[in-house]
Amino acid sequence: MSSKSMSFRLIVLLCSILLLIGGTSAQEPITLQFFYPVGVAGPLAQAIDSYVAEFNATHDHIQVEPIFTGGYAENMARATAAILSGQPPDVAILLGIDIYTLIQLEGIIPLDDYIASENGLDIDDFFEAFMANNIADDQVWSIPWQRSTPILYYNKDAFAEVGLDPETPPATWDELVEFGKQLVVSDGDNVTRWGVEVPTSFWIFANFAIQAGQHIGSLGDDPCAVYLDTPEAIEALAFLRRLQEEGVMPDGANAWGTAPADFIAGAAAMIYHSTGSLSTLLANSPFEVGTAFMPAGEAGYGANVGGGNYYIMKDIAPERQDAAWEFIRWMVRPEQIGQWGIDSGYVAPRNAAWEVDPLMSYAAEVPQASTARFQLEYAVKEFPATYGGQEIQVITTQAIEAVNTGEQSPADALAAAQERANDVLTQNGCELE
Amino acid sequence: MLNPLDPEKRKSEGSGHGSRSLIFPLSLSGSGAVAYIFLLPSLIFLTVFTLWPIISAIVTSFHARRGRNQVFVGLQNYERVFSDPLSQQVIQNTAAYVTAGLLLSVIGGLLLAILMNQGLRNIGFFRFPFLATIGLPMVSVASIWLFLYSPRVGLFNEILGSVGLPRSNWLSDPDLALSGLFVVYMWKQMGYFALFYLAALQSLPGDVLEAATLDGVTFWQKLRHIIWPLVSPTTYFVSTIAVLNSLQQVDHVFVLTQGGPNNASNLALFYVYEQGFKWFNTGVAAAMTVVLLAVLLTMAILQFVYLERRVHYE
Repeated sequence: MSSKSMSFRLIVLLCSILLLIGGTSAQEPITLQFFYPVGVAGPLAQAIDSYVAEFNATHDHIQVEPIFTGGYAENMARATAAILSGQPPDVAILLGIDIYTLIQLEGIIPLDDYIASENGLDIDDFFEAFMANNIADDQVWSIPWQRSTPILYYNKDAFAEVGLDPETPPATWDELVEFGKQLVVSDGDNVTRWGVEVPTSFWIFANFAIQAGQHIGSLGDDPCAVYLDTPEAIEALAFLRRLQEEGVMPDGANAWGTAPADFIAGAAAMIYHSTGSLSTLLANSPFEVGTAFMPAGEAGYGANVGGGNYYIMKDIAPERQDAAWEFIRWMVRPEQIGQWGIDSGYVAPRNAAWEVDPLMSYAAEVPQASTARFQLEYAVKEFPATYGGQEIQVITTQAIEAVNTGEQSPADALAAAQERANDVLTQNGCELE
Repeated sequence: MLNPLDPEKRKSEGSGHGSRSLIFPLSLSGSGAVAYIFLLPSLIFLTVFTLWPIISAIVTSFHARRGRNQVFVGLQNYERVFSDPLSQQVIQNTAAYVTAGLLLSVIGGLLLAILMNQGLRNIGFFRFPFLATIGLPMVSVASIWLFLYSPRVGLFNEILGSVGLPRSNWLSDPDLALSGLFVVYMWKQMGYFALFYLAALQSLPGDVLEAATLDGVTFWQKLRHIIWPLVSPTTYFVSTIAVLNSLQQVDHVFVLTQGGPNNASNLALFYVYEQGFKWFNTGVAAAMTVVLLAVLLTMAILQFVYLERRVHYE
């Protein structure tokens, strides 16, 4: 990694020297501002910076300036502020679910003309589940990049230690509880290893609701749909509480960032987390890491996709938009996005990436890398792809917190959350019945 | 007829042009103009950074954002601030936090100062740890406490576990999260308030206290009847600063809990940040800001009028 990024830097340095020697007779290059977030553990910013350096080194007329903007929420806040102030970046990686908010802000442009153009893109090559959040009003507004689903990570050594088969991860909710109980290790009253740790997050909760039979978000093109108080959602949240009541999962709210750390430290034998954390977990766990589909509920397997896409901003000159498209096209080339999948653990979102090296041989070597790809068969559109989605995310997570800390019953917490979500939707111009 | 408004009359009475222009500096002649020139830089800064934001917040608080546009919504944002369960909780949290902050800053600060004022040898050595925390940035303090509070590897739980007591998930427990923030704040700021009391204690008349000691007055009697009244100007100052300080707390909320779990530790300023800069509900954020401003102004006036009059013992 680091030697690679060193060599890129060297190339950049050499190129700049050449430019200096050659004088400034060449056409002034377009400098693009590129906002990107990092949402999972690991040195992903370095990876992105090194790709950009390579792009810059191979393009005379376009220079991309990568700007790391924090987590997804800060990234969206910065982009929104920039759009509202009339000084947007040129190209940005933003969440797929923010599509309607960005359209409402008049911040982004549809990409269909670029896709169909001479320098286009085979958009049908991208996995269907990863395109679900990119289409509104029959137009494509973003190109998949760091896409994921949650998967189940499990500690194979711990499985063997308690007499479970390391090659048979739990396939159903009941097995998750059963295996979890066997995996718990206690020292007196203090648990030193938990059976499973499910981060307290809207994004993870959504999967349980799908597995129970009803997604909490829209499956189609409806920016006003939130289904938080359905019997299925209540059942899903009650199951998360059951994991705690049965002593399988730590009490209270479990932070998103804590789960990978606990898994690596051996304090949690199984965790639900983004496939984007795969590389970090594989590299840092002092035991064999297993990956599996999230266990099935009554309605079978189910997954909520997630992650970020490339968007091109509206209030910039057309030649800058053209340049941004060229950058995106370069980044999602099969070899390039395959490399990104290896560096990060994100699911390379297009078929072609899996059919060429480097990803083809990597997938053959590291079977864990394909788990999320095969789980896509059961994957649906990400929640909450609505107006005011950033706020509805937090409202949903707070309902889960209220239940995970024993403050409220699942039905009460979700009814309150639905009411607050409706309020946000109405504030944003939705007409609810 | 004597008409006090008659210009002719006043002119003839003319008690001196120079002194009048000092009282009514609006006239641009003489020293008034000079005064204005000297005040101009402060005036510009006050206008740009205080007055204009206040006016702009008031205007914004009557609007809501729809896409890129601001539409007038009347008092709707204020309705939300006063009736929405979330903002109710935030106001309650903030009130509890500020009240506790006020009480503990005064009582704890004074007691700590009395401890630091003991005529021990090397007292500086004992004072240092309490004062050192003042200079630390809140973000670094909070980051350190994040590890202390950490549920599975944190210091507190390690200590509790090692003596066989049950562990807590400090910041993820809705009953403990706000207190968790408060402890961090007090740990950092207690020495700051004690410093003011220390200065006050050192300027107390030694002979009065000595006479009291000779008369056999107990420590608590001295504290109640001599020290407490004599440091009352400092108490006034400390309580004002303490209220302002605890209302301004947001850094540790950001680092430690993000207002969670389920808003159990959400404070007014963090609410304003979330509404304004995370979700861009600028109207609601502005309404809460105006409410905060009104509370602060009312308190400042009350304290000024009421306390200022009775704190000074001659």
